Amino acid sequence: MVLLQVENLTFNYPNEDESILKDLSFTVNSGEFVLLTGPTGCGKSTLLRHLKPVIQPIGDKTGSIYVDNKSIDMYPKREMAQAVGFVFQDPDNQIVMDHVEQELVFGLENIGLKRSEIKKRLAELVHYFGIEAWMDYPIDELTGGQKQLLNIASVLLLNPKIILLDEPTSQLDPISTKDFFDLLYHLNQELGITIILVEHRLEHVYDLCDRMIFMNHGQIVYNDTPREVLYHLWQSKDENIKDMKEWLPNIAELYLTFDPQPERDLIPLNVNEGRTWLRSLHIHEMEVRKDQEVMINDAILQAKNISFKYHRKGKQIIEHLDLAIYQEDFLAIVGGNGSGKSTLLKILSGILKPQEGNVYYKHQNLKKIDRRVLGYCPQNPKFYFIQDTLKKEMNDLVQRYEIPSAKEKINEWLHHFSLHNVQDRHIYDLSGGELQKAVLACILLTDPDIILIDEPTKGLDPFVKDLFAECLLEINKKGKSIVLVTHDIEFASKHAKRSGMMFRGGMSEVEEAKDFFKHNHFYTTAINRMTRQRGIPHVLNLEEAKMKWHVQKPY
Amino acid sequence: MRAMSNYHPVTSFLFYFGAFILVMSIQSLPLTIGCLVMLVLINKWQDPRFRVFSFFIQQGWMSLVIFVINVLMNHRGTHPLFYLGKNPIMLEAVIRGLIMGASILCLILIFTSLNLILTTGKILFLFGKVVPRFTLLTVITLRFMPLLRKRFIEIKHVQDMKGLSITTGRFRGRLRHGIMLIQLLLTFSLEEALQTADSMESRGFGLDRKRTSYVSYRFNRKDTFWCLIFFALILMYFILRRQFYPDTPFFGYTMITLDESLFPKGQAIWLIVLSLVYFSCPFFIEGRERIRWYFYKLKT
Repeated sequence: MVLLQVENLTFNYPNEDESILKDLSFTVNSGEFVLLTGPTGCGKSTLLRHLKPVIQPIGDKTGSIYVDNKSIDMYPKREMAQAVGFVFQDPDNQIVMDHVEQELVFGLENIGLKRSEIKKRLAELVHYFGIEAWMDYPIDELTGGQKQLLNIASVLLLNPKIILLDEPTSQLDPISTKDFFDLLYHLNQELGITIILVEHRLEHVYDLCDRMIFMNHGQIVYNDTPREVLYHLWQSKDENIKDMKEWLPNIAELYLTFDPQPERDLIPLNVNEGRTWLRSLHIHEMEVRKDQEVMINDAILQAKNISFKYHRKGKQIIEHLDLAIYQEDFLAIVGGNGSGKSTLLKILSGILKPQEGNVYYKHQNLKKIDRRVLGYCPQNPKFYFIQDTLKKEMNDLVQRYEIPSAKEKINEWLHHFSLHNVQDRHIYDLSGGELQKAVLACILLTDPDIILIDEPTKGLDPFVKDLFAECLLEINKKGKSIVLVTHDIEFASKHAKRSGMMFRGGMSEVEEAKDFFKHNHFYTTAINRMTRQRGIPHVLNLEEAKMKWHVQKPY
Repeated sequence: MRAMSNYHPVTSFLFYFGAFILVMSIQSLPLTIGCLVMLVLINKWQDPRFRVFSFFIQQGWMSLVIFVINVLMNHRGTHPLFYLGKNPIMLEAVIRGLIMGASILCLILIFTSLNLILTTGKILFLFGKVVPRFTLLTVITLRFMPLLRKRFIEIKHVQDMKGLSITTGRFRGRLRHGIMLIQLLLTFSLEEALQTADSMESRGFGLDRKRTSYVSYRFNRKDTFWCLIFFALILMYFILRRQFYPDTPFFGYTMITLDESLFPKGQAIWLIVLSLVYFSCPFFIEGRERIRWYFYKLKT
């Protein structure tokens, strides 16, 4: 049964020449789980917002949208509020009230439901979600994952036919993300709720969704089952979508790269399927010459026995931690939420002072040296910019620090990160990837030795992520050390030289990144989980497999 | 320790409203100090985490400023202490300043406690019917306070690294940096608030239909009892106050005489007793609860 129908939808933002949505048509059946994806700026979020009239962006729209065979513009407002639920990207911003219970009933009160009816619905749902324990909590005691759970619960209370989700997990760590997707899957399977999800962190989702719509430049390129779309993405030689291989999940990409005769119906989507496939292969290991290692000579930044907590009676965030960072180092620190990663980064950069121990830069106490030798990229890059455009910000920095030959330097870095054409745009109009690069460009103006970056890959699509990694690797080659705090294991395993894990305020031994992730059981890449203890050359990611594997298929 | 929270919002609100009126109309030093002590005790009882010293250190500076300004600007009185340049510093002004400083602290304490007892749900219940839009706006603003604070700390950290410090350097520089940071905080938060607005609308906020309220409270016998008590006490205070000081307006900045403001005599003592009785009501409420539990446990 067709639940949602979009016909020839075209949309123009005011003052933009090119349409962001070009003549889109598709249908969604009742009970489907649809994944809507594509590169940043392809119009997927704009499309999603069109499905909910009250939050439609302003501009020229033609075409029509039907829900249950009724035009969406003709829907009475009250019914619309209930029929289509929307979950936004940021867990914090969409919460209105300050206690969990009030937030849950907010929508129900709005549509004017009777008290007894509200109570009944609430009791039912709270039980289903198992969130009774935190009904009385104030919102700011919840974690990001819990907040997103609350958001979807408060939308569900309105008994929607469709739930639209706009990158709901971009601010969450991998564990919460997985939980969240599993919840969506259950809602879809058990309650039959139709789900349209916009997302580009895809590893888990392919396995869960029924259908995948891939958009590019405002058009739907593919609209099919995940396996079919993946196969097309792999096969495509189209000019428009040349880099779309980035979108393949690692396991599927491994299969498509190494299987001599890949078949679309057999593309493995999870570790288990991948293992089954591996059994049919004979893989020989090829000789690989050793990579260049980090020169473990003299540490340039050293934390010695540091301990830290935010309040006198608060929790110990960091406990007796030692860490050394070397010249040309690329260290990735991973770990769960609240393990103290970000706090450690702030201590290393000198923003927070440890209660015990000290941080030394080239054997000098960090307090005594010029802070400019360290560059710090915050988790939210918007907090970095005081001025409203990148150019103004850079000029401001140059003036404040009295940097010689400023013009050349500014141009050099703008060019380096290809930020030339956005330098006069308002900061808030930059995309996530551009913002990250902009912060990096500003920091590099003062020529720091060490760059500390907090969660740079949050919410970036795979393509942008790779571009950003290239930038990082280049400045790393130029002799800057990089310290990265991240949840993104694939990213860390691919690019970092060394890696360590934080747990309960301490740091596991920092090893070479490859060894580190290979030894891990859970906190590691999907390909590693698939290939370990299989009697085949054990690899971390596709790049390594390409170097090490020589595959023969038995006939 | 919050037996007050079990009462009907109207009851709790009436108490805080009365307390507010009392504190605003105080004209004598011993009474102000008495109220201050009572309010500190109330806060401490309701919230064991309430830190008396850090409260006075954090909030005291405002009282201090008011005190100093008052001493310097107010020259009404008959007891000059000394001369600062050509300006006489009056004993009356000093006392007046003390009363005002302490009253400000009292008001802050009243609101701290009110914040604890009258949760947003109760505020919505109290005013939701009368001024719905305004109430909801207030509640949403309340939710933003911790968010803003968290963001500001984050911004401070990041900008500190860039050399825009608000804790070190020259005063003027710090002030300028502070303004820049607040500007950043506000632009950022306004931008983010657009999403909040979207989220509200997408859940049907602002429909023509009447909003219902999920929370409900029962007005019990004990509520009636306490409401009457609060009302009676405030009324008595009004009447007595009118009798003893018929000339001074009830609220406002008036000239005081040393005698009256320092050593209340005779009937004026009744005013003090009355106020202190009023401020001890929360202890009775709390005590009643504790005694009831004590006997309840004895019986079972």
